[in-house]
Order: sequence, then structure tokens, then C-alpha cells
Amino acid sequence: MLANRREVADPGIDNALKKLTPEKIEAVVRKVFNPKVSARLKVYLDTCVHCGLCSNACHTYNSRDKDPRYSPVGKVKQTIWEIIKKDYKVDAGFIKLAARIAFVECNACRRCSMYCPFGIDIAFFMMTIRRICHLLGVVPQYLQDTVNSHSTTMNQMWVQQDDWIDALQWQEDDANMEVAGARIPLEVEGADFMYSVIAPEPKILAQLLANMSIIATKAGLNWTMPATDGWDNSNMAMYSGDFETMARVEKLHWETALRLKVKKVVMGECGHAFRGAVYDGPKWLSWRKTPIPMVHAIEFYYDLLKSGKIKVAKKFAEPVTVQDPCNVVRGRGLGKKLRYIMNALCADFRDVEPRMEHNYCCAAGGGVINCGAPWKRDRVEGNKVKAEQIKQTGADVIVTPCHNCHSGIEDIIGFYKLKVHVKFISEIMVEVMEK
Amino acid sequence: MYALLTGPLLWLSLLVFFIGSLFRIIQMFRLAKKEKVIYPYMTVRHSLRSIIHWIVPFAGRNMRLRPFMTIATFAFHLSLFAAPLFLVAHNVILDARWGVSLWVLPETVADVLTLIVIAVCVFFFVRRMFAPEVLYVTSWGDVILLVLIALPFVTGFIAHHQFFASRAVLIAHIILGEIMLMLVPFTRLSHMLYFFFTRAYMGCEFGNVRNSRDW
Amino acid sequence: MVDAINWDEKERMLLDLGEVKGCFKRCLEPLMNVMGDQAAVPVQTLADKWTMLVNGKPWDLLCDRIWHPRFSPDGRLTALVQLDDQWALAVDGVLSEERFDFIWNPKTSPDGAHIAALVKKDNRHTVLVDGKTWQHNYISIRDYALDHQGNVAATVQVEPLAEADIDKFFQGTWSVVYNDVLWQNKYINAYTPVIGPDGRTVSAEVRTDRLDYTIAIDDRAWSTKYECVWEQAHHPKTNAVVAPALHSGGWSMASNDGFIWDKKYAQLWHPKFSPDGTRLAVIASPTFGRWTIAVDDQPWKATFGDVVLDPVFGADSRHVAVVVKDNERWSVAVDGTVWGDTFDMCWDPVISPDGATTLAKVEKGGRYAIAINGRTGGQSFDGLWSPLFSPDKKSVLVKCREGDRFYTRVVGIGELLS
Repeated sequence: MLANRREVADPGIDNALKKLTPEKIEAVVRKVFNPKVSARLKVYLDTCVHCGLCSNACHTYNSRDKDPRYSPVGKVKQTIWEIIKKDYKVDAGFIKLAARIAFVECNACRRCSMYCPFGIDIAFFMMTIRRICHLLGVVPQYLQDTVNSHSTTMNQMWVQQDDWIDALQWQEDDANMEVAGARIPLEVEGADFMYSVIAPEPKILAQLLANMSIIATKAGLNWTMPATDGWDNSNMAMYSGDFETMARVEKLHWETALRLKVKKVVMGECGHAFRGAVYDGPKWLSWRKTPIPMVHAIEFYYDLLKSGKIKVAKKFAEPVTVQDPCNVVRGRGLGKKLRYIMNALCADFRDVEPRMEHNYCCAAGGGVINCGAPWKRDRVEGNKVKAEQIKQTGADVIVTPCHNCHSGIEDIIGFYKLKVHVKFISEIMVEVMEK
Repeated sequence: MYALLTGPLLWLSLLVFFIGSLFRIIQMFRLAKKEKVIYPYMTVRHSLRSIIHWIVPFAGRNMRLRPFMTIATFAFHLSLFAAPLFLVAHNVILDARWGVSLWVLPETVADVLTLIVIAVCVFFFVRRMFAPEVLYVTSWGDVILLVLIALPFVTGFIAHHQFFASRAVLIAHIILGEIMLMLVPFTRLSHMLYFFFTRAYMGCEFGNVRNSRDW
Repeated sequence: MVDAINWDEKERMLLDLGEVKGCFKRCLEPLMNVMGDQAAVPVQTLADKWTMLVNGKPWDLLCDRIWHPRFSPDGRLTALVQLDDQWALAVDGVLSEERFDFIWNPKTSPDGAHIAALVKKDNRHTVLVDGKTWQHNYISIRDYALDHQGNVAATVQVEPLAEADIDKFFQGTWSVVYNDVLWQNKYINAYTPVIGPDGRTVSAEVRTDRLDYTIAIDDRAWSTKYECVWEQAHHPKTNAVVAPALHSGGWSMASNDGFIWDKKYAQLWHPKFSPDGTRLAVIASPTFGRWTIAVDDQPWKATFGDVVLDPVFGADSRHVAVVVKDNERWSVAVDGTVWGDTFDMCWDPVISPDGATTLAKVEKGGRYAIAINGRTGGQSFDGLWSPLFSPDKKSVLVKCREGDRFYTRVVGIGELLS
């Protein structure tokens, strides 16, 4: 007998459930989950042979003593199969469980697709459940609040327009103290690239903006940042199932880059933002690919180091390991470039196992960390394997080129009492580079 | 009875199998076209890259993590196709009916392959019952499907070695074999058809779109 | 204004930065005005103060910081400046009377007669227009529009929102303010306010329910709600409002009465009426991943894979030109026919008054040139600002930088192509 899941109160889910009628639930589920219009839904359903080979792909399954409810196919059974079994006549109790599974117990990291012999996109099933939940108004409170921020301010942390610009100018001043002439060029039409970041940078991690200023100044780059909305490329609406808001955010982000007449967009150290800006957003908007290329920070730093535009004065001495962010390593194949950077900057780089495309998710991604404090314990308990993996490397520092990974791993370190510090690449780069 | 089963009914089962399969694949293609975001991302190269990595034993990490399961599934699927296709007795019928026949396996090899299929069916069943992550997602349908696959091989083996009332078993074998064939397009046995397409799609998602690998 | 351009003056050098560079610590990105009689550069003095250098002469105004310098269409130079931890708008070196905690997003009316900006005072937002701030201030302002009469419409937050208060959010906390007068209704979201050609009507995209989007005109939302809408456009003569709207998986153009176009598109945005109002051009994706312009529900046959920018009408309303990108190369398409040459970047095209010639600023190999009907001549520049046709259509006003020197030249079209 499997132990009951811990009860978690979340007004975003609980209050919304009270307003649902069976008819409304059925109508929405029928509309979204319609294998008659989706080749993927239909073929995936018909193909899955219930073999369970996807199980060991999932960090939540591996972290929870192999409880089958947390295996990828186990999650499909409790959600998708249940809908079919009940012929779409599912109740509010089902939606409550489905929301928990899809929003909190799955990071949409897509590792399971690499373990399924058929390559079934199980995360796509979970995203379909999230879409149903969004249409029913059942979304964890803090995730919904983030989405509300996106829809209102076009950034994920309610950053006001003036605060955004102020943060950039303040960080430009800070960078100037480190490197004379350092700039954060605002609204420079025709620059080589636009640099876009996610809202936590101006809000709580502003020094990362100064880092970029120092790096770009030393490398002699011609770049710009917008002084209007459209600077934030993060996208929690993509994860809440609110694809209309997702699209609005991505549309503005790309239109901002087009307005500035840049040839590409370089983005900061974030994973899901890359996914939103390069894959999910454009696809919804009818762009087969991004209108202009986007380069993730890993590729950007790799090019700077490889070309010698940034030189290392003295390598970082402490033992360092790394977190492969799902959305840019499994999602973009940047694992090797990430390791080039690690070895170029650090004297004692200790790789993780499994690594690259096979690395474990941080368990914060996929919108899970944005579900907020009520779900934090579930999130960190669901990633014991990550704590063990980090511990095994014996490193004192872990580099996370992704904001979600950064926060998620900090939580894991705190919960499992590891003696490790979390850093972004730019922090180490600015520390060791020739200035 | 025998003539009916190896004549018109064999025709029928083959027809249902082929036309049914074709129907399912065409249906899938049409749906995929309607979904719009499937074909624009697909390439032959990335499709083949993925398929090849998943039909070569131990080419994928998960296969290496589960060596016993990998050996079992590869042995099972190879035997499942090779035993009936290259069996002397089946080719004799083909030859008698339509004057065509394939290369045939020595009888002992065919016996071994048949026993592999039966043994792996038993293994699959045991795994379904005793591996919690598999039991959790197992339904009656999964067990019935397993039995339906095992039965033509069990009966075929018995009929060949004439253990029991061989005529009745032979008739049962033919009926069960034809049922199995006809069920392929309409049950989860259709994973045999879809495998190549789901793999191709995911291969392109990972390879063409995300510049990554899916094995 | 443009009428004031001396088309007989063949060449004029406005500034040689090389001569004055040494007097400053830093010179930032230069800019030139529409008429081509001013070249300006933000400069940092040796005493670490910032000012604008215009045609080689610095403003008297010295600031702690200066950013977002822009010429208005009538030739006035605006910049946002910081002095003693306070912010102001500087126009031709003269400061706005009031100082603010912050100032951003300046805009000028199409003729340049009116200048507005968003400002922050006591942690609240308001609007500065033609040197005066509105009486009221707001929790937050995001989008705003300024019209040719100096009217301002803005989206504003009208209700405070506690952290993670999702219930209150969905009751509506945003609205639209027009010339400092608020709409009555509150919306979940409000975007892209547009002021009609009459200077009285204001429209905005609004989100009326969790899943419902539509257009509100003077605070009255269309009765039909959509899954999504994008920015609306007002008819230049009738003031009728149209907007791209999504329904049942397809986009089409909608008005108050529902869809006005028959075709369904994979995407549709940035509607633009011709100057005479007879035609409506919209950026359209007829099928997934392909882009073009649809004029009055007729998509061009030519489609492009990467992106299509805003349609530009000629003055006679007959021709539409647009910047397009396909296979990572930029070009221009005119009435559905794409130029033969491709570029590293293209700027918005300009159609000659007679519609016969289209030109655009283009970039190739790090240098800028003017492409005329798809062809570039031997002339290229280190810097180039929006080219203009002469009234007789025979010449082009070329505002350019060659090394440190800034020139304005009147060049015959034939000469440009040679």
C-alpha cells in the first residue's frame, strides 16, 4: 500500500476547484484532450506498451524510493489514462490530483523521452494536463501570480519599467568601478546583439548585469539592451498552460529585438527562458524557428573564451562541479561547450555522473519552483538523487548556468545540508578573467 | 477446416493485417498534417539516426542500464518475427498456395526461437507482476495481449512436436496466429507500426530542433 | 520640417568628430535628424559630466548622466538627463521645469510638435506632456500613445495588488486613462492604447475574463470575446476599429461585429490602413512557419520563412513595401515581389510619391548603403540615417558618417546606383 501524498493547501488549486462543475470539467477536458485532432496524443496513447522502462529516467521516481506513482508512465496513468477510463467524466478530485502531478511532480524535463524505447513525449502529456488546468482556472497560486506578472508587465517579477532601467544604470556604474568605460548600452539600434535576461536579475541578482557589462566591455562587443518592456525572455505562462500569455511575452521579446535591428539575441544564464523564446513561444506564434538567432550564455561564453576575446588570468582554484540545465543541454546540446567553459575557467573541474543530456533535472524547472513555498518540501524531497550526485563529486562549488537550477540547487543544498556554494558562470568568469 | 484456415482465412488475416496497418498509418499521417507542427521539423537524417540507435542493442543508455531486459526484448522481437517467417512448415504452405517461399531456418533453430518467445513472454509476465513500476501500470489488457502473443507459439510448438491431439492443436495454432495478425493494427500491438514514426519524430525533436540526442 | 530641406545644397559636413574627440573622455552613439541639418553625439567631458554635442557644439547643460537622445521629427533634440540624483527631460539643451525621481520612454507626435514621457514621482507614475505633468498619478503605467494633437492615452494600474493576490488580480486592476481621465471599468489586462484620428476615441486591447480578450473603445468592450487579440488599428477616415483576433484555432481580422475577413490564418498581426483608408495590410502567416502580407484578406503569393516586418504604404495608398527575412537573409518585398538582392539587415523602406521607386537603408559586410528598387551602387558608409526622397523624386537626402565625419548630401538616384 502506497502512503498518501502529503496534504498541501494551495488556494490557487483549492479555491478554484470549488467553482468547477462536472459539466465544465468535461467540456474543457474534451476540448483539450482530443486524440482525434492530435496525431501525437493519439499515437502516443496507442503506442505505449506499459513497459515501465521510462521509470528510472525520472528524478522524482528515483528520489522517492521508486514509488511507481512518480514514474513518468505512472503519472500518465493517474492523469491521461484516467480521463480515458472515465470517458472524460472526471471530477474535481481528479483535477486536484492531476494538477499536483502535472505542476509539481513533473518538471517537463523530457529526460523520460530518452528512456522510452518509443521516444514518447511524456512531458507533452503533462503539458496537456497543465493546459486543461489553466483553462479550468486551477493553477498553483504562486505560479499563477508569476503568470499574472508576465501578462501585466511582460516580466516575471512585477518589475516596473523605471526600476528596470534604473537597475541597468546602477549596474553600469558598478561595472565602471571594476572596468573603466564599462557600459550597458540602452536602446542602441543596429547593435550586433541584444542581451536579454530574466526578471530576477534586475530584481534580486543585479550584479549579474554588471558581470555582463564587464565581460562585454573587455571583449569589445557592440551590444544593447532595451529600455522598454520586452527585455525579459522568461516565461512561466508556458508552464502554467496559459499559452496566450506565453505568446504575448515572446512576441514582444522578439519584436523588441527586431525593433532594435540587432542580428541576434544573446540571453543570460537561464534554461526555461531559452525554451520559451526558441521553441514553445515561436511555435505558437507560427514561427518555425526564431525570427533572428538566439544564443544562450553558454554558447556566448564559449565563443568568447575560444576566440580569446576573454582571457583567463588565474583559474578558479576550488573544486567545482556543474549542473547541466535540461533546457539548454538536453534541449540544445550545449553540454560539451559547457565543459569547455568549466575547464577553461576552473583548475579542478569535477564532472557529474550521469552527465550532459542524461543529467538529472534540478527539480526546480518546468515552473515547479514558481509553485512557491507550499510545494518546496515536495520539490526538494523529489530530488534526493541530485543531492547525492552533487555530494559524490566532492566539489565545493556548483556552477548552474540557469536561474531555475540555481535556486533549485540552493534549496537542495539547504535541505540535504551539503557544503556547496552555487554560482553562475559569469561570477566565476569575472573573478578569473584578465581585467 | 485446415484448407479453409490456410486458404481464405489466411488471406483474410493477411488482408486485415496489411490494410488495417496501412489504414492506421495513413490516418496517422493525415492527423500529423493537420497538427501542422510535425512535418516542418522532420528530416530523414535525424529520423534514421534515432531509429538506428534504438534498433541496435545497447546503443542507448537505458539499454545499457538494463542489460537483461535489453537482451530479452531484442531476443524476443527477433524471434517473434524470425520464427514464423522462416519456419519450414509456414513456407511449405506459402509454396503450396501461392508458389512463393522464403529462406527457411533449420528446425532446431526455429524451435529455439519459439522457446525464446515463450520464455520471454513468461519473463514479461513475471516482470509485470513483480516489478512495482510495471505492475502499477499493468491492466488486464496487457496480460491478455501477452497471452495472445504466447499462444500461437505455444500451440505451434506443441503441434510441431505432436505432443497432444496434434490436429486440434494445429487448428488452434492457425486460428490464434491469424487472430494475432489481425489484432496488430487495432491493439497496442500497433507499437510495431508506430515505433518507427514515434522514434522518427522524437529523433527530429531532439536532433533537428534541439541539436541534441535521444538515446 | 522636411519642407525646409535645401535640396540645392549638394553636400554639407555637419561634424568632424575627429577634431573634437580629444576634448572629451568618451563619445557614445551619434545620431542625425530627419532633415539632415544636425548631427549629435552624447559626450562625457573630462570632468566626468555628460552633455550633447550638436554639430560640434556642446549644450550648455552638463549632467551626471544622459541617455536616450532622439531627434523629434521637427528637429528638436530630446534626451533624458540626470542631475543631482533627479531626472528631467532636456529638449535642445533646455530642461523641463519639473524634476522627477525617474523619466523614461519619451515619445514624439508624428509631426514632432508634441513630446511626452513617463515619469515617476513619490513612487507613482504619471505622464509628462509638452512640459507639464498630469494632475493625477498612478500605481503603474505601461503602454502609452501620443497623438498629433498632444493627447495621451495610457494603460494604468488602478488598484493596488498584494503579493500573490490572484483573486483580486482576476477581478481587474488595470484600466485606461486618457488625458488624465480614467475609464470607469477595470480590466484584468489592458494593452496598446490607440488614439483615433479624431483625437477623441481611444481603444485598447483588454482582457475581460481569464480566457477572454477583446477590444474596448472608449471603455466599451466589444460584445464578442476572443481567445486572443493583438494590437488594433483605427480607420483613418471612419475611425472604425479593427484587430486581429483568434477564434477556434485560426486568426482573422475582427471588428465590433465579429470577423470581417473570411480567411483564417495561422497568425495575423500589425494591421495598417493605407493613408486613404481604402486598403488594410496585415502581417500574416497563411500556413505554419511561412509569413507574408495580406492586403484586404488576400495574402501575397510570395511567403518568407523567417520574419516579415510592418507593412509600409506609399503616400498614394497603392503600394505596400515591407522588410522580409528568409533563410537568414534580409530583403524588401514590394507588392508581393521580393528584391533580387539580400542583405545583412534592412531598414523600413520608403516609397517615392509616384510609387515608382522604393528605397531602403541596408547593411552588408558591416557597411551601410541605400538600396533602390533592390539595387545598391558603389557608395557605402560607416553610418547612415533614414534616407529621404526629394520632392521631384530624382534625388535622395543621404545623411551619413564616413569615419569621424558626418555629412548630409543630396545625391541623384542615378549617381547612387553607379
